[in-house]
Amino acid sequence: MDYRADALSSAIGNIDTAYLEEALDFEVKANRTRRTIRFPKLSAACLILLLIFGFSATAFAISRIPLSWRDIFSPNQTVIGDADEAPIVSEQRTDVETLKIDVVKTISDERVLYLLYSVKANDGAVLNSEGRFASFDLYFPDKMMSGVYQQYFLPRKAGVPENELEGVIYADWQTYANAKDLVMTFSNWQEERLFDDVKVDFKVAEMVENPSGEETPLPYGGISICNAHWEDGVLQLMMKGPSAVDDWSTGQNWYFIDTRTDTVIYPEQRADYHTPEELGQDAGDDCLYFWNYVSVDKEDLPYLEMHWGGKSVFTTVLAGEWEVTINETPVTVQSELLAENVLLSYSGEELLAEKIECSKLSMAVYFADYVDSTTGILGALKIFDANGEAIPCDWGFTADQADDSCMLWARFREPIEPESICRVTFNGEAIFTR
Amino acid sequence: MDDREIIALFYERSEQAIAELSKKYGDLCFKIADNILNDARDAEECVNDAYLGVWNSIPPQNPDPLRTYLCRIVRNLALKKLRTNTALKRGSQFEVSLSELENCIPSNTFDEHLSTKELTEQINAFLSTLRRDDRVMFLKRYWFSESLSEIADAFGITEHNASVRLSRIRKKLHQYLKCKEVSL
Repeated sequence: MDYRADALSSAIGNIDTAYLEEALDFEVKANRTRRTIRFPKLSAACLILLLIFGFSATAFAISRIPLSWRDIFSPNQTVIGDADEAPIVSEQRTDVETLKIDVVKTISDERVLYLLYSVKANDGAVLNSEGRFASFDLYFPDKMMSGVYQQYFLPRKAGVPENELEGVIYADWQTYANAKDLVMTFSNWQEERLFDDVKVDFKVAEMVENPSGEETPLPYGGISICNAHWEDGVLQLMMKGPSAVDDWSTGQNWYFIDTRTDTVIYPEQRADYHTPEELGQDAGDDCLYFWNYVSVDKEDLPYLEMHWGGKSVFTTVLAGEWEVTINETPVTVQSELLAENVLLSYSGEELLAEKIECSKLSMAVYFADYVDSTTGILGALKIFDANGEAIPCDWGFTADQADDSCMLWARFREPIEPESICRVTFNGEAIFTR
Repeated sequence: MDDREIIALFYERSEQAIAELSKKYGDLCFKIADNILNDARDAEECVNDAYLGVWNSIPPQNPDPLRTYLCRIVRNLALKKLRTNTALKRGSQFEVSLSELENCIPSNTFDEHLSTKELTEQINAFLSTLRRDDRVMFLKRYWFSESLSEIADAFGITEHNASVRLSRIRKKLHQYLKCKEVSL
């Protein structure tokens, strides 16, 4: 089996419960009413957007460019608008007191959320700005969060203590109107650390022949090898580790050496994970079981020497779980309408763009009918400033959840003033100018 | 019986809980396991193991929704059984559908590799870009391992149409992951 397909299959196995429920409910509905009445074209989401637009299709008057992502959060920077300066009230819950995370500011429109937060460790501690949280999640409780999000840290500004960092999150926001009740969860602060190469006292061939043997401990993290099995050219290693440790999860930390040839044999990238309860064990056992795979011939097993380390690995230096909730309603910037009912021609088909709008953060072209985004159409749209320079942005596609409507939209890599957009082209032809 | 009532029975440690679970979701669970294993006896065994898993996990767990919680356990157990029994792989709808996905992930061109969790997040994001029908079709094929004929029947289309639509969805997934620089 192609390990990439296997990894994809595992990932699909974990997809959002809401999607599974949707698929399960679909069967019921399909059986009940095979030919259902078609819903109106205008989805609830679009309706909301239109209502928002109806109230606030006004241009922003402030012009301060060029801007950087950090600038838009600067207290001296007015690009967000005075109303956006309202304080962000957030509540923090944590199981440890060693790290405090505060939301400093947010800015969002109907498609993009952008958020600045601060991380502060105890006085005297040092937070490496190239560190990371082992896991980070952004969601609304009881809502399905569509879109993707990304989190990163800004370089530490001069004069900022070493125990403080500024982090940035951006998310494809889509149909959410504001950030109230948004929850961010963080776990286990990690920094990169070099581990010496250690030879592990592990006789893999013996464990394959005698699977019920004793566990073999690995040099780090309380991980041990519980079992080994060989089948169809693949060695399966079953390991066990504390669930709080998450930097052993891939095979990057260890490898085998064939002592006859000194050939290094790395495990495959895939791994499977199971909780004790999934394996019918005591649910109170706070650990995880995982399987790693190594492509190797069975006759080679007696000659394999296991090694761990020899490289830099992101390692948990501060274990904990942190949760931050935005309790208040930060201001959401509104989009400006650039054009309506624009007829576009692409691959011999005529497409009607119902409206083109933009804000400081993104631009969107809305269509009432479904557009196949895999035909290269995303590359057909370009946005230019007064100097004729293309404005850097990343185009994406979002289909409405309820009907055929969709939008092609772009997140600007730097926030801009809508007035700076002087021309939008589709396949080289101007569809908006000012 | 309502799911809440079934869970309440589990909390009371009443064996009636499993009977009610089986009555309500037995067919669904068997179908999931059988699609993966292609063997009625193994599928039945897998479903029973799943009931045991639910019995052992509720309490303390209080899953909501119960249905997908159970489905995930069945799928995990069936895949585990499939992994350890090569003979079962012959004729498994899961194996067939899995082979379709092999070209969906761009080849190994980046140093950074995504974890399964990160890949799941990307797939969730990808699914959010699909029309509902396409999303459901994707899940039916690649989560529930349904055959093309079952999917065609559910959507009221021909097998050929189902195959073509799935092919387009896979192409979109490939493009999406490529765009997001996802590799494994």
